[in-house]
Amino acid sequence: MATMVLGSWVGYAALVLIPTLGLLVVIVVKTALFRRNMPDEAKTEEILAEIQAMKARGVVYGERLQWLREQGLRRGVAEYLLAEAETRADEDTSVEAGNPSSSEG
Amino acid sequence: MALNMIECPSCGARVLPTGEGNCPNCGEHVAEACSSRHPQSVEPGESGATESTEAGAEDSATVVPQSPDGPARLTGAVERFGLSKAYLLFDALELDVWLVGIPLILTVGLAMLWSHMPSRQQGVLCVLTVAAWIVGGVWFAIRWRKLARRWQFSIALTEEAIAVEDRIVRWAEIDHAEITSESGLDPAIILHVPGGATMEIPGATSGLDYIDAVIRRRVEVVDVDD
Repeated sequence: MATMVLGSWVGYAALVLIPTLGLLVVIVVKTALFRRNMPDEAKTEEILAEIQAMKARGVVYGERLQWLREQGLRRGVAEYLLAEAETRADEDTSVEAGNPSSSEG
Repeated sequence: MALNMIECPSCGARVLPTGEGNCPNCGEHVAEACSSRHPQSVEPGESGATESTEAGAEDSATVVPQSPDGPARLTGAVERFGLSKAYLLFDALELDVWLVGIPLILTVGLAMLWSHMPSRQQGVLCVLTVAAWIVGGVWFAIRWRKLARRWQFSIALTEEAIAVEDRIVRWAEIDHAEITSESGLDPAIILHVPGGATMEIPGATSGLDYIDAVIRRRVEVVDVDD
């Protein structure tokens, strides 16, 4: 039976499909873990404010990342929040200056 | 150790020539053109030389473009980044699995189905398998070379300047930034500095989203390619 399956086009197709499905599963699991670990909106706002305060105190990226990891956040989530805090700071600066700083091309 | 800082005739920056005698800013050959005419010794730590950005820098002196305000330096809180090895591994899994996977699947398939196929199909599959191994091998060699060249890549950010590998440039000196959708070892962010030179930040850099946000904040003109 095994010889029959392996020695057919079905077995050959399975050889192609299994690695593809494996990669898809990895991507889906990574996305699910990211969403599950992301704090709710209120908590996110609180964390972003804290990140901005830490940056104002001169705490560097690595230390801010470490602090977020200690809060139980995954690396991907922590990096996303650090970038989001920087983007918010940029938006605040742009609003104060009265014009956006980037152009979409 | 005394270092000969010379003025590049092409971009006008005062630079420390590379091992080949080229300007690290614009790539022009400067050693013979300038060093004999304008030799000037600068000790590391003096104006014109700064500390290395991270492990992997070849010398303690780094290139410092001249500006009216004096040379740029990495001072204050320095945020350092390198290549994300985990990202590269995942990137490699996504792509290189197929570089080796496709020829492997063809080889296994050829062996499994050999007795079930007419000779014409056997010949076609043989040619396809050999071609896939050759293409996969060449692609793999190119990727490996790129990876080896960029393995020690480092980037440092301060309030005043950005250092990409051994080149430090003030935020204000950056002409414009280009943000692309490239990933892996391809440049996700390209910084254009005066003189036509560019500084490339690969997609696999750790904290790329943060670096992207900082660049959008600091650089006046940012082009986003979707």
